[in-house]
Amino acid sequence: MPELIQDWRGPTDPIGKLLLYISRFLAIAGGILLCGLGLTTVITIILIQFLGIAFVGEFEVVSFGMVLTVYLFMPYCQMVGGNVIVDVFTIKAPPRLRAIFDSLSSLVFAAFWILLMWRMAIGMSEMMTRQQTTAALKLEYWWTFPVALSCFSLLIPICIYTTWKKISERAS
Amino acid sequence: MSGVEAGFAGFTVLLFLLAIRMPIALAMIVVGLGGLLFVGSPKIMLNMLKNQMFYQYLNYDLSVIPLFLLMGQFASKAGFSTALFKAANAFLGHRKGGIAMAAVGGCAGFGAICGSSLATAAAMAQVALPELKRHNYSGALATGALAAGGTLGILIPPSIILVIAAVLTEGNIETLFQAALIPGIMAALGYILAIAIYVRIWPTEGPAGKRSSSEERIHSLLKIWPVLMIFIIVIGGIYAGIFTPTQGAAVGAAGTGLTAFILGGMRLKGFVESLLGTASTTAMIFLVLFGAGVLNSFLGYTGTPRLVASFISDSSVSPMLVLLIMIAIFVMLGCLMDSLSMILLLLPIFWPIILGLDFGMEVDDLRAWFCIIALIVVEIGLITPPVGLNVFIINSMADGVPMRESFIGVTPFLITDAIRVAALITLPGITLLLPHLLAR
Repeated sequence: MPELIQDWRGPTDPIGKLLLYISRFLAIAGGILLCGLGLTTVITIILIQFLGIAFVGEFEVVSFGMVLTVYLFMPYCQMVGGNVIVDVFTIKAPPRLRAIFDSLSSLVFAAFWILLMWRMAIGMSEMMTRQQTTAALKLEYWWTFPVALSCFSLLIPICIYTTWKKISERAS
Repeated sequence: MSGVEAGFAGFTVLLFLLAIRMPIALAMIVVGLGGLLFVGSPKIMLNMLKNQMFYQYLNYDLSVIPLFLLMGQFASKAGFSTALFKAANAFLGHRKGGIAMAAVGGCAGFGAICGSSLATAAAMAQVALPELKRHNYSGALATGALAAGGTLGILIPPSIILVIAAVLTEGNIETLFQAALIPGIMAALGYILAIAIYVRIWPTEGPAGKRSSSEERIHSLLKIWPVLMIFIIVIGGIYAGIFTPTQGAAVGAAGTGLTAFILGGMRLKGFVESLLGTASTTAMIFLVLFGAGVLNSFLGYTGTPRLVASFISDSSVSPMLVLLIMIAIFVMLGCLMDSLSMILLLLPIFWPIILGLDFGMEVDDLRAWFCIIALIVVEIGLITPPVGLNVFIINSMADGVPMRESFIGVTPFLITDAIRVAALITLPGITLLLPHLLAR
């Protein structure tokens, strides 16, 4: 579980450090955005409960902003190995075998992010032509896509890096 | 190959991928995409990827998850666990086994702010383990009580898994939060009772501590007022319909963050740690949600859940038997997987089946009843061998207690869990009491 990653030591090589640095930066940016969305909600409540002023866009701002937050969080999760696995079957397997399995998973992950980036780039251009927006504030849907694509483009080197890490781990 | 066969084949491949350590989210994605390619066409699969993730994440109900996670992170930094444990200890510590009871009480209180079992268990263990050791509690009782107490985190609202269950079964979060409260309190009382019986049989395992004066008791109560305030405002506000769950979570996160800053001494470092902790858990959950979405598009395309449901309802098997089989599957898989992944994997498959059977209940009641039972059964998996994540965490924090002893220590709590599940199954009224009262 992700709560366990407190013991995680972090990479020592420059590439790993750089990738961790960038993904941490994005995660913190996402976290600050999350706090901002929370505060928007709190202020909305105060306005309506105590002053009777309604802010109709809260619903949209929060759900829209949350999409961005989740994208920004993703590279960090991958970098620190936050994705849950079932390790009960391999808990007694030799470390070499586990490293092979893990490098395989990272490689499949990289392939998935590449596929998703390609499809979402097409999805974005379709959204742009259709000009779909939220109801009240007219936030354009496609605005979230560049953020998604930037985050996924970081996920690809991260997955390749973890694949390489696991392979070299197996070799040593 | 027919659709149903493809569905079952996909499930087999999924289990295989999970066994070779593929992250759960990725395994769901691979099987879902592969399956769509196989039973559908490349076009269907590729079109789905264009915007499925965006539409799935653009869901106001889901935004409650990162906010509650943030609230839980702040709660760990606000010193709530110490205050709660000390308060419970002031009232219970002088009894036999009382310090372990206080740890359970503290877990219940912490669970009312934090929606995660592991975080609850870990936070309370940090405070309670040294105290339990100082009073010569046996390793089995100390670690068992904390591991079991931690499971209260996901039962007592707010709870992340309850939110996910509500989203997956297309129900509302408020109703599930209402339904969970009484079973949650029952769980806490059941655990305390288990400790009382345990120390009656083996008195040396949990010696009594010193009695606190009434002055100390009042003093300790004064220290937990922020927890009470936050719980009453957040959960009370959601129950009363003043807030949506997301608004409640935002208010709770703001209040807990402020308390952590003023009383808990949280500064920039702690704040950044909280953000990063929220980030990795949020991303993990959302990626599994996406994976479950992809997998379900595939299963939906094959018609497997619907066909299985109609097969079962045609075969005149008693609905109760079906429920019991599902519980057995939950318990068995619970020994292998963590609770969140299990809910994400199985609820979308089980819920349509349950919905198609006649339990003599309204849909909303059925949903609340089934989700709460599923949640409790899944949470039992957190304290059963071989995986029992809670037991592992607590055991790793308690120096020199063998793993075997910890698993023996959980046994009495498992017995009360089994009794409670039986009671909730036979008497749906227990779960539905609060939603019905508040609906008026």
